[in-house]
Amino acid sequence: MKDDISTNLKIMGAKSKLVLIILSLILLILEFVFHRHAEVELETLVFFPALYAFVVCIAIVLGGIVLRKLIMRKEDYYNNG
Amino acid sequence: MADLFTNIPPGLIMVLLAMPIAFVPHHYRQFCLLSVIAISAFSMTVGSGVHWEIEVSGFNLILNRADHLTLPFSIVFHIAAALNVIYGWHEPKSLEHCSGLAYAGAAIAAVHAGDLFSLFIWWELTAVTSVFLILASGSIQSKHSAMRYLIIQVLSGMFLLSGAALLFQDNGSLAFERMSLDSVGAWLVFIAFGIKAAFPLLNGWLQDSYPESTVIGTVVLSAFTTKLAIYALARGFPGTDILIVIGCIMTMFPVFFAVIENDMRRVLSFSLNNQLGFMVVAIGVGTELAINGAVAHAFAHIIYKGLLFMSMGAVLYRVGTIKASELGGLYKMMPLTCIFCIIGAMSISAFPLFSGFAAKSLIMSSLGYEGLTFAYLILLAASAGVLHHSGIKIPYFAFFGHDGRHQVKEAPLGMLVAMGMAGALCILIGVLPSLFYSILPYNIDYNPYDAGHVLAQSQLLIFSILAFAFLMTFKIYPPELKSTVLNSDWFYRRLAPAIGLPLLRGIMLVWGSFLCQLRGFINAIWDALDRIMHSPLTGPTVSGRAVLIQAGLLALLLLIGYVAAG
Repeated sequence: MKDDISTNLKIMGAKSKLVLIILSLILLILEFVFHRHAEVELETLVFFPALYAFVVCIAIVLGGIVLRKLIMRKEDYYNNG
Repeated sequence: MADLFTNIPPGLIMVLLAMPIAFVPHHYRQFCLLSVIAISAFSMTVGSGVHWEIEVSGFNLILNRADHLTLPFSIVFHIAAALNVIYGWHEPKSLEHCSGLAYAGAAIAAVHAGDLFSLFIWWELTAVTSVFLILASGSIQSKHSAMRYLIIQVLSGMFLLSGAALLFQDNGSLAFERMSLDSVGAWLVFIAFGIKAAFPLLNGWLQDSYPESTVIGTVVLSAFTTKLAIYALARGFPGTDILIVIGCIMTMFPVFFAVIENDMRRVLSFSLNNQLGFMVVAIGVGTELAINGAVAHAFAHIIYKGLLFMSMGAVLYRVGTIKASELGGLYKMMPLTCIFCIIGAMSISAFPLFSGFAAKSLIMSSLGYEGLTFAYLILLAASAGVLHHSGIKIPYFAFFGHDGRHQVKEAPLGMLVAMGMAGALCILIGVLPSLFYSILPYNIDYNPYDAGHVLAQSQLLIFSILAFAFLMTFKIYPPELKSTVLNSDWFYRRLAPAIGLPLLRGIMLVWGSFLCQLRGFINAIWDALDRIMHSPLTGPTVSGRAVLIQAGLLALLLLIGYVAAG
């Protein structure tokens, strides 16, 4: 039963990655099919939302890793004293 | 009779009946709670206008004002209050239910307050009633957290009251209308709102106390206080430029904290803070479209954020922990909770067809129309961040991730019903945005569902998920660790005592030694006097200090008389 969950999770992970990659490709292709909405000038650049989101998300996580070095303390930090 | 129900402010009856309802037996109590909320909601049907105004010692107090801005907040507060009752159906104890009812009532009445003084009364009452939701946890940490929460909330009320007093002095009116930041009074009111809206560095209380509350309590807390502040800002300070800057900081910086936080309900509290940022930016822009966006976002946010807190509450209730490092693999045991959580996650991430999309599009468009490119890009980045920590992290680490080896049952029926209703509302708002837009303050002609807009949003979302998958695959994503992440509450929980206590000790030491010196000096004088009296040069003439003092006073009197006569 427990191993079931672990294997299932692995299969689901692999499947969802595949779906994700296919979806991303479709969305990139759609960019050339019809006009994508843009609120500001910069956004009219090709693939802007896709690239921006990808870069920002990685930057946020890397930022989080740096932040962790600065402000992460032991779980009982406030309870000692 | 009908007048009685319609002229009193909505919410008042909830506050008044909260106490007696505690004595009603468990299941009947839940029905009573729902009925009271329904009666309170009936008061909204009276329509716009000032419905109850009284004069108290020369002050005009407007206790019930309804208009296009109060209506959406009042509606969503009632919905949230009702959902909370259903969510907590399993709980036989009355404390959380009754304080929750009074708290919701106070928030609703605050929305209908037309002057700063009655706003202050309800403002403080939301603090006093909600603190019991944190205390209900019963742990020593929650008790300390509750006290910090109360101090900060009451402090906010003090700012509001002093601001109101100064404004009254300046303008001769207590009316709660649009203000500009050109007087000390307005600034004090602004800070009061800022504390409750969790502005940067004033936000510590939110992430400190909300996750310390009970399963039900956190859900209740998430709805009212901060959104009441958003209402107050939208009423008092629309179009105030500084709000755009404050809001941008609010959307970005909690995102980093949410990525590394281990307590899932604390992750949600950071994400709540980030969502408030979107509303604050929109209020700062202040156009009709932007104010509609802020209100729409607050409305949708209360429901999907409530739903997310509900799902995490259900996990906590069943598993007994809410630490990401200990959870995982629950999707098989709690499938419905998992689905509802994903609906909440998709709503907060603003997937097309979910409520967040209908609401957030208004804000983003308003920024685009005003040409605020920088703010737009910040909010776009924050949107990607929201997806990251609330949209993916919450469902992924709780229900998927790795096998947490827990054997648990699905959430209780009441919780499932409440989550189902909240989820249905999220989808309804997303699918029928025009119905949703019709209750907003201004009439607008806006359609979020053009193909180009949906494509832009889908690219943003799917590539954010892709980034997450990329980071997970290459094991760059920081693992969930048992930890405490420092936040702005550190300033008063650690820094202030660290500086303050030694400082206080130093002052006490100096004061103590000063007193010691003074005592020594006085003793020396008495000793000298005693010596003089015991061995005077002229032989023993006076006996005792009293006589000496009298002689001194007489001499002084003589001197004064002499000077006066001269």
